[in-house]
Amino acid sequence: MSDTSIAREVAAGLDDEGRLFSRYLVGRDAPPGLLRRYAEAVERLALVPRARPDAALLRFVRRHPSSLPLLDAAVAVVRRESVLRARLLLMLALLEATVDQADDFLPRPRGRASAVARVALEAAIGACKTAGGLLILPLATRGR
Amino acid sequence: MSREAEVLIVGSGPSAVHAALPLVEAGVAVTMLDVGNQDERYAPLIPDLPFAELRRSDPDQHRYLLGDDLEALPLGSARVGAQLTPPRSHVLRDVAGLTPLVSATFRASESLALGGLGAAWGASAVQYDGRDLAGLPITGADLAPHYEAVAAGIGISGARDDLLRYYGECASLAPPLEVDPGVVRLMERYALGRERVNRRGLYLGHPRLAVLSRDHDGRSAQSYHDLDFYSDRGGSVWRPSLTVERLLGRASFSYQRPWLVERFDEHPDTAAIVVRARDPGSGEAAEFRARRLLLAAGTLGTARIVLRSLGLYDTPRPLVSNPHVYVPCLQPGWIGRPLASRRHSLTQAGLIFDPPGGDGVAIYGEVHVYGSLLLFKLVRESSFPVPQALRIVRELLSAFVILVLEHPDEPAPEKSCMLRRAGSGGKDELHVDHREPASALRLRRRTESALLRSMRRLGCFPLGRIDAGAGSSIHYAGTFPMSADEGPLSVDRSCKLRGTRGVYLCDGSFLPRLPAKPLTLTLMANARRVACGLLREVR
Repeated sequence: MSDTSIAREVAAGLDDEGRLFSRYLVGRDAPPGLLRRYAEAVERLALVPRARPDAALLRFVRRHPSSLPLLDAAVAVVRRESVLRARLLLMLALLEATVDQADDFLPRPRGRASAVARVALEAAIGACKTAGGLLILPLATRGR
Repeated sequence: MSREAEVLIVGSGPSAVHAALPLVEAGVAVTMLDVGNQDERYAPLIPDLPFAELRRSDPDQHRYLLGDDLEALPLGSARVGAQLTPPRSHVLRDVAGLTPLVSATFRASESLALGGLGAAWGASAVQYDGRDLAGLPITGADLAPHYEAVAAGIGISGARDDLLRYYGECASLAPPLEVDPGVVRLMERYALGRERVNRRGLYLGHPRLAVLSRDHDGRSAQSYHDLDFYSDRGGSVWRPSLTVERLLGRASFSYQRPWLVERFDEHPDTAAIVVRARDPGSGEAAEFRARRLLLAAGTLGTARIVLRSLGLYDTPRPLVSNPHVYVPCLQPGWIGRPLASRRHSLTQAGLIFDPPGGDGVAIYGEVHVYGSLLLFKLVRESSFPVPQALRIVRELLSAFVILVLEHPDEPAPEKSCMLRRAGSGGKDELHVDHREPASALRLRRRTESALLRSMRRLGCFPLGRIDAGAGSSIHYAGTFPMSADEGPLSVDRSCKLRGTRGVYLCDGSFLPRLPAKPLTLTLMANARRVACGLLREVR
């Protein structure tokens, strides 16, 4: 498969991908306007896979949405420059700069003990996801 | 096109406007030449609301938070200048194309904006003392009246605390800005353990900022809307454009844009200096004539103009720039606390590391909180899955501070710039080589470690260290150093370029070395000193 055809294949379906990422990041569907901005931003920033494993990873996530939390965790550690991570961060930035999602991003005071417990819990969840993600990453980047 | 003035000033940054001010006030005909890029897109979009309120109410916030061209979205490694948000992106606009710089070791930031780099500066305004000026044919006493005059004009806030002896006395000093509660706690811990950490060389206090804590000269006091990285509404933070505005009210002042100055020639038979400039948009050429020329185009911009004018291609010139690192830190005792509703985005506290037996200030530091910048930038640096990283960052935000540390820089053979002639139709390129000798690098790391040990004692724990690379401090100097000796390519104590009849260098070019402390206030005071000297000469 040529680089161009890889790019064309992955560029298709950005709406579905944006919706998937939004649900994953903030638990809600992104509004249509934001999905359009996501697709435009992917194009403007040229966030298309340059290498076969990157393209395979994106395809895998689209076919198996339930693998996203694990693979996101894995690429945060071993493939930090991957297109999957870049696109997740892009969606995060777009969500952060919207009125509807503002409260998901603005700090919320809670007691010190509660905050420390929350940090510990999230760190533990992150570590578990990373372990799982590292196990399936070779499969996801193998492609066809 | 040809125009005449008594004095031509190139650039509109902090030095340029403070050179212009005394001349114009004395009635001297001054023409300021500038490319003068401005933000014509974002400023009108930004509501006058506190940052958190704006985030909950403005449907167009993505335009200025992320940028219409997604300027705020480099998704790779950390970038220089967190304060260069989309509304500030005009500050660096056109630089790569019009004033190309080539380097594998140096990350320079230059500006062709109205106000130059001062259009986005962090407003730290501290003085140099006798130790900082050692070896120069000028002293602190020469600069003292000019520091006072500049401070009285731009409005400086701060406190007379432990940092006074490093920042310098300032008669017009206004009270300090309000401080974020997390940093108040750090200062309280410092007050409790002052003797112990002072013995190790650490001093902490309120920052000295060119930001108004009370109304001044038609400008409003800080609004605490936490929008200082986005908007200049009210004029609380001094920007050079405020002084240009004031100068425009004077008949003897003329601001000419958009002109990119290329070279000057001193006429052999008359006293005139001819300055050749080009409109970067249309390509139209113009000549301006004057009896005196003040170059304040920034150290790198001025180097281009001087070297091109004198035909000194491929001639290395020294270049110094403060090494600059970020140290994100956590104050565990402040986790889960509420953020202040009234905040500003600039330096919350200042620090100086002056270890006993050392050779002066080893590190100048600033304590920042992470307020009005988006969280995705912090999430990007994390190794956790994105949703977990976001939740962790949110919980820790109130306890999170960023230390910005700057070291002194001395000239060395490995630190230089030179102008290379362009090929046909191209632009001359400034080539910069700036490598830190290994021994200096080791010393720098050791000094930082000693400082951070003291910070731990104050309950402030470093999480990492980000070295943004040489040039990232955006402080440049050393190209045409001031000396008492009659050396070539140097300036005398009046900042006149030796070998010329009337060309003066009014930016960082004249400083042979950079102390750890930021240079901007000194450049402003020195530019005023140069202009006052010139005034005596032309009158």
